[in-house]
Amino acid sequence: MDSAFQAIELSKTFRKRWSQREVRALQSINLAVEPGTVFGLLGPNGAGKTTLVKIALTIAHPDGGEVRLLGESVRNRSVLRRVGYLPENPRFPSHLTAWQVLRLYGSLSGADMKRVNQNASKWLERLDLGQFRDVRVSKFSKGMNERLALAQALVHDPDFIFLDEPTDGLDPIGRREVRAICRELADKGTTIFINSHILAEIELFCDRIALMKSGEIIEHGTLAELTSAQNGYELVVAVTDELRSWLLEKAFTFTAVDGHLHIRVPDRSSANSLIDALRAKNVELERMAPGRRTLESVFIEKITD
Amino acid sequence: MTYVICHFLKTMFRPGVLLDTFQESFRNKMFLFFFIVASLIVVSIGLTLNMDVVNGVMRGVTFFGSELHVPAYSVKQWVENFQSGLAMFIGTFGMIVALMATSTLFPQMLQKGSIDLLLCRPIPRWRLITARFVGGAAIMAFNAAYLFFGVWIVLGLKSGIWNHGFPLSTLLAIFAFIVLFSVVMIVSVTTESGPAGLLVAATMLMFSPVLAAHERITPAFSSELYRRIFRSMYWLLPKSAETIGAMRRLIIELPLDIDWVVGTSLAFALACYAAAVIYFTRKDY
Repeated sequence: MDSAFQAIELSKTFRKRWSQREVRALQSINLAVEPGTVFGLLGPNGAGKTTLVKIALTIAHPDGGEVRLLGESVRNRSVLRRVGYLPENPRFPSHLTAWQVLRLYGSLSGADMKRVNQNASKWLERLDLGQFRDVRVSKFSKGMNERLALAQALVHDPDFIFLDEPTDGLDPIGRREVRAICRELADKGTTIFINSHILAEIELFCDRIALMKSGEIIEHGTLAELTSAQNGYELVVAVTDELRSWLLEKAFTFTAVDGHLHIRVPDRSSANSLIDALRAKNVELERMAPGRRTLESVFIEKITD
Repeated sequence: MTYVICHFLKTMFRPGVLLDTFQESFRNKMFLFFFIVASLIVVSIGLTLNMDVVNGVMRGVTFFGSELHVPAYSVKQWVENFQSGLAMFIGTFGMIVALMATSTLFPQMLQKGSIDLLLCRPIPRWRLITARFVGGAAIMAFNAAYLFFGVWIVLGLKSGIWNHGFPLSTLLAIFAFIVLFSVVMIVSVTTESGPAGLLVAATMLMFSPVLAAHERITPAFSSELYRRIFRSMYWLLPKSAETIGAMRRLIIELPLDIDWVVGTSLAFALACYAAAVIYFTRKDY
């Protein structure tokens, strides 16, 4: 089966017009996203995330390589009929109402207007904008604008959706609603590509994650793969002063949390040795699990490498 | 025929961009201003212009209750002079107002967050910008036609003189506007600044009478190089003054010899349009 998104040897360098300075935004990127997944692209500011998305949507042009969406090269613009996009800081024509905005962008996407009208009503209601349907967008708050931007990305029933910082400016309820919509759409087969630097959101949203730094993909996998890889084990036992002294004496790494000691060991044999020693001291083991890092720790580790 | 034109517009530009340009233009305060001023001119001529005609000769005219001193013109001459004076006023002052009203169309489209939402659609970029250009030009053509036809009808009803040159001169006014609007387009697209586009177009309009007098001016230059530069500028730049002057000739039924004026101005407008499209098509946003 074709990937829903495919970047092949994608390169882009920005050159300052009046100086020799160059910024290599993308460096021969290869990346694929399977259909029906919620994919998260993470990276610090300036990593090249937005450039990658903009090239995929033909808003910017690559220096080399190509992007394929839903099996077709984006050079064939007709594939963009099946693509939705929520940009960071969207700006709508201020003279239009919410309803007119959705009709305008639905028609520009080449969708059937009957379907656009139905979807416009549906998404305005779903995103809690139904009562503001005939209000001009110039009167909208940032959160309302962001919800309307999501509705315009969905109004033509796209098969692939790019969301750039989709929860920016939303309250916790709005964020939960956006997550629920993304999950529903993905379950129906829509591929969702989220571009964000909010790690907690990515952890909650995404089936697969890629980390990007200085125009390169430096890590790629599921959340479990990224956070558990080669990270040893963690044993949890009840705190006693005697045990704490013994662990310090043996130079184990541990932290005390809520009356328990979380002891980290680098590999399976060390874990087994420690269990034997603890059992010999009549210490009861509360829990043992493969050591799992947080996405934040992985992100910081990879980005500061 | 109407179906063919509608279908062509629909498939070429997608109605959305054109309609949005119209809506944006109507909500634009400057357009409202232009429309109200045009309406006031038509209404004031209709209600306050009174002509005293004796045996086909103007004996007197009152405008807003004040008597205008009129030499013993025939009614036809007086109407032609009034219309040509109005056409000159519209061709200069009205043109600048029209350029001001349209100068924001391109920068607004190019704003960050707004342009992204247009470029991610399955529409070639040249169509997007062409729709914007056509939308802006169509709005001004509507305004110009409204004013010229309004004045023509009111004056025709009052005087019984139906000078066909006056409504026809609308075409020249629209042409002069489109040429300068193409300057606004290229400058606004490259600089993303409305005032910059307006400034360049208005400067060309103001400078065009000077260039039009090149045959009288160039002999005064000390160097042949300067003379050549000045003549080249005349041939390269749009001939707005001569196009507006041609409106007067058309109204007072003098012979028109403007093929080269229209031809070179059209070539300039096409070059501006092509440059704007190429720049817009290649630029990363």
